[in-house]
Formats: sequence, structure tokens, C-alpha cells
Amino acid sequence: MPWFRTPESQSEQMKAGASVKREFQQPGLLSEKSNALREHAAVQDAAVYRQADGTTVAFIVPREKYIDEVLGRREAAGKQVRKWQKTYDLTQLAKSAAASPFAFNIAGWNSSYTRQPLPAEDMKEWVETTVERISTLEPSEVLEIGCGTGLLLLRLAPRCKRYVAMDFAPSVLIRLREQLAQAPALNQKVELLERSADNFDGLQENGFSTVIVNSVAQHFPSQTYLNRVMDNAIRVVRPGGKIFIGDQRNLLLHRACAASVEAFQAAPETTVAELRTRIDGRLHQELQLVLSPTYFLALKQRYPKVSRVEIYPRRGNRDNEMTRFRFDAILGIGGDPSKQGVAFLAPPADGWHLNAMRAALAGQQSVGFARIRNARLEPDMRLLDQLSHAPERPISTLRQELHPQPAHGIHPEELFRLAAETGYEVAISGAACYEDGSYDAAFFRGEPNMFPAIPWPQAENKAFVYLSNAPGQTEIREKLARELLSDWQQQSSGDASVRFYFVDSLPCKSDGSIDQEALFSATAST
Amino acid sequence: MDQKSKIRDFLQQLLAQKGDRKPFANSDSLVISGRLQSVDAVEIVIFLEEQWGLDFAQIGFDESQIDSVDAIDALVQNAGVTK
Repeated sequence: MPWFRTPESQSEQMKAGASVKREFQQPGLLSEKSNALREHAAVQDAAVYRQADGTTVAFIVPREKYIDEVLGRREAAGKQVRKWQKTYDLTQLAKSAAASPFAFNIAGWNSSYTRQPLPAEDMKEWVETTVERISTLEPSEVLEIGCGTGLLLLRLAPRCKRYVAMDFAPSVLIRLREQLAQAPALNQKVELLERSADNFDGLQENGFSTVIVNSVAQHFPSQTYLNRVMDNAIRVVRPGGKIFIGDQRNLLLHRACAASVEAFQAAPETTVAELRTRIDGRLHQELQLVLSPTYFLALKQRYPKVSRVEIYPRRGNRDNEMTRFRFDAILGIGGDPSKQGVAFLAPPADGWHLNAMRAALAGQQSVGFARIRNARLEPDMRLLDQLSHAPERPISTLRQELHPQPAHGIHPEELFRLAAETGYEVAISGAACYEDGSYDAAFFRGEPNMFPAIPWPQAENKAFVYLSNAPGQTEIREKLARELLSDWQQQSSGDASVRFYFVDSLPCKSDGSIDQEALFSATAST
Repeated sequence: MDQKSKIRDFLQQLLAQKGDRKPFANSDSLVISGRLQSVDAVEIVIFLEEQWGLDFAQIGFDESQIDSVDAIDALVQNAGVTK
């Protein structure tokens, strides 16, 4: 999988006089220039366009091996993994960690907003909804990558035949062993391995029914590292099994999340301009891997063994950064399940409301509702909207303007209550990757099924241009951009003006040509 | 350079890397106040391990121990290390 540039951070772009047009106009593909760039050892694919105003833009899919080996990312990634390991070790050296109740050691789970420990009630709901979702996958032989202090293991292992759990932090595993000593019945089936997430040594192909990677991938140093983990995870799950990648930070909501946290922390006299600068700074300094749901949707194309990919918003009534800005991805391995016939209704002009949905359900066997505005995210989306065009003023004034507005969307949990009330099953999905955090829902009659195969509305091509951010890789990206610019200038006589965009893919239209509009649209927000 | 100055220099560098060049007193909270993040706390721990051989697995860890120049200075002194 190629390396890319996060859409939010701009400093690594080599600006040599060109800029991307904000409105899409059909630019001209420069085939010769594109081919010349593809000759560079660091480039896997490239597309160069001359825009209507004469400026040149080059979209580059970098070659992973070059980034790792020549530009030194592998070494930097190793250092970052050791820092995360130490971070987690330190959380367990605190007295509070040692005094944690059985199966509820939440030391280190801090709020990004308050920097204080997350409320126990929030964590309780987080654990329960996660365990419930994984339980529906009927795990029997489990491999958990990044088991931490056993919040999931101690609840799931009793109902499994075998549970192999990996973690890289020795102090964390010491705390988990202390708890396992209180549950001797689990000793026969639980095996703990102290190792990094990408070390699958000795784990058999098709040896597990379920792999769990919950709230862990954000600490992987790069998309390449995650690729390695996913490659192995898919290998060790047997046909009919599932891979649960839970509690992922969502790239589509990354800016909204940063804005929400910075606005919360800002002093009242902070101005809108200062807030914008802080949001950009937070995104630029991001050290965690933030993934688009499209990263997982794209796996289906890469691995024949992956038969389906589901993207679910997090369940829960508590209002926190996990329920707002994160998602679960579930990969089905093997088989080709027949999908339920669900026709999706487009939203009315003023959006979906519960009464309209109730009316649409009357007498129907199944109904799909497309693009339901997410009430959880409305305040954050209003904030983003205001920040994009609000005149200069203190954040205290902005807060007053934003606060009293009523929600127009629907909280996802409302739909589960509506389904219970009307006798339907319901599933909700984030697979369409709406940029405002909207989601789709399918109501159907039948047996309870939290993992139904639904023909969900699909994400547009532009959502596949960036699959994740590139945490802590600013210097490496700048080095690459300098190399490419130097080559470009040597080969160009009098046409040295170019702007590079590093992307994950050059999406194609159905006729096989590059979807230029998707490329320009995805990068227009940068 | 004395122990306190070494600690102060290191914290100043950490803050500068984050673009924070605001002045700070030796008693000012830097970690709990949020000027430094948990990843920076790890950098401080690694610095103390390398510079004075502190072993946090033995002495335990709490953010308040490394929250300010004064707190870190006291931690190193109480750990009885001289280097």
C-alpha cells in the first residue's frame, strides 16, 4: 500500500509557485511528465496535470520500500513504537493502576479534552459495547493484538476455547497476569505473548476464528506497519472467521475532532484566527495513526480471502471522543454471504426525522435510509463551518452562538430504540464515508443479527485518495519532496513550477482512466 | 552545569520543539497543566533514565514526579543518585 500525505498538514508540500484550484476544472494530463516521475525509485505511481491557469500539479503515490529504507522511516518507526511501549508501561507503574478493580484497569485512558482520566461510566460503556459487538462474531479461538490490561480478554476468554493475547508493554502484561491469577479457570485457555503487533512468529495459518485489534492501530507508526499486521491477521484467520478492528480514530473526522478539542481547551479570549492556527498545529503534530474507513474497504480488493468489510459507528449513549469520532471495522474472511435485499431511500430535503422514518417503515419488510445526519457530531460540524468563514472574534462569542442550537440529525442510538419499538432489526453503517459524519441505516424483519450483509451505499472515489494520515513523518516527507523537486527541475527547461501532493491512490473511473475530479476534490481541502 | 540547570535545559528544549517558547519558573507545572503531553513525559523519563540511571519500575511513576523542574530535581535527589 502506498505512502501518502495527510490532507491536513501542508508544510511538507514543496511550493514552487503553483497552487491547486479550489473549483474543479478539467485539467490536462501531462503523460510525459507523469511517466518521467514514475521512473524515480521513490515513486510507485504518478499523475501530473496542467491546470487552466497554467500551474502544474503532480499527484504522487510514493513507493513504501524507498520511504522505509532510503529515507529512514523504518528506523524512526522503531523509535516511535518503543516510545509508545514506554508510555503504556508508565501507566501501569502508577499506584492507581495497582489498585484497580478486577477486569477494570483503565489507567492511562485519558480524555483528549480534559487530559484527565476518562469517567469510569464512559469506560464501562466503552468496554460493554465492544464486548457485545465482538460476542456477536461468535469468537472461539481468539488472537488479540494489543490486549492491554485485559479489559476485553477477561470478559471474552471465559466463553472461548483458546485465547492468545499479545502486548508489547511488559508492565501491562504483569498487571494482566496478576488479574489472571485471580481467575485460575482461564489459565488453561489463555496464552500471553510479550511482543510487538507485527510479530506473528509461530502463529499458524488459519489457526484462529477471530482476530481482535481494538484501540491499538492508532499507536502503529505508519500505514505500512498496519499493512504488515493486517497481512498476517488475514493469514491466521480461517475461512468463516472475522477480524475486528475496533475503536479506530476516523480520518474523515480528524479535523472536526481537533477543532472540538482545541475549542474546548481555548481560553475565552482566544480569537478565531488563533484557534485555526492551533487546530492546524494539532493536526500537524499528530503522533497517532488516524485511518479512513476506506483503508479497510480497500482491503477487499487486495485480499481474495476478505469477503466483506463492514464499517460501524461506535455504539453508546455516552458523549465522548470515542462515540463521536471513532469507528469499528469488521472483516469477514472467506465465503460470499448473500446480501439482504434492502432498497435505500434518499434523505428528504430537510434530512431524516424519526417520524418520517417511522412512516416509511409501515408495512415494509425492509427499508434503508441513506445519509442520516449524525446528531452526535452536529455541534462539531457547526464549529468547523463557523471556523471556515467566521469573522475575527473571541472564542467566547463563538461558543455562545453555537451552543443553543437544537439538533437536526438523529443520534444513532435513537435508531436502535426505534427498531425495538417497531419490531425491526437495525444495522447502521459508515461505509459511505460521508464527510460530515452522516451514516446509513437498514431496518429489516428477521432474526437478531448484528453482522448482517447489507448492500450499503458505497464511498465515492475521492474517499480512497487518502487512507490515513502520516504521523511523525514531516521530515521524511520534506526530504522526499526535495528529491522529487530537484529531479523535476533538472528535467524541466523553464517549467520548474510544480506542486506535489502525496496520495495513497490514484482512483480510477469505470473506464479505467484516472478519476481526476476525485483527486482534485480530495486535495482541495488542503 | 548543575543538576537543576540540566533539567531546566532539557525541559526548555522539549517545549521549544513544540513551538512553546513562553518563559517558565522552576516550580511551574508543565505536564499536568498540559503544556507537555504524555509523549513528552516519556521523553523526560528516558532522559532521567539515561542521565541519572533512575529505574521507574522500582520507584513507581506518577506525573506529579516529573511535573516541574523542582519536582524532577527532588525526584533525582530522593532517588539518591549522583552522576
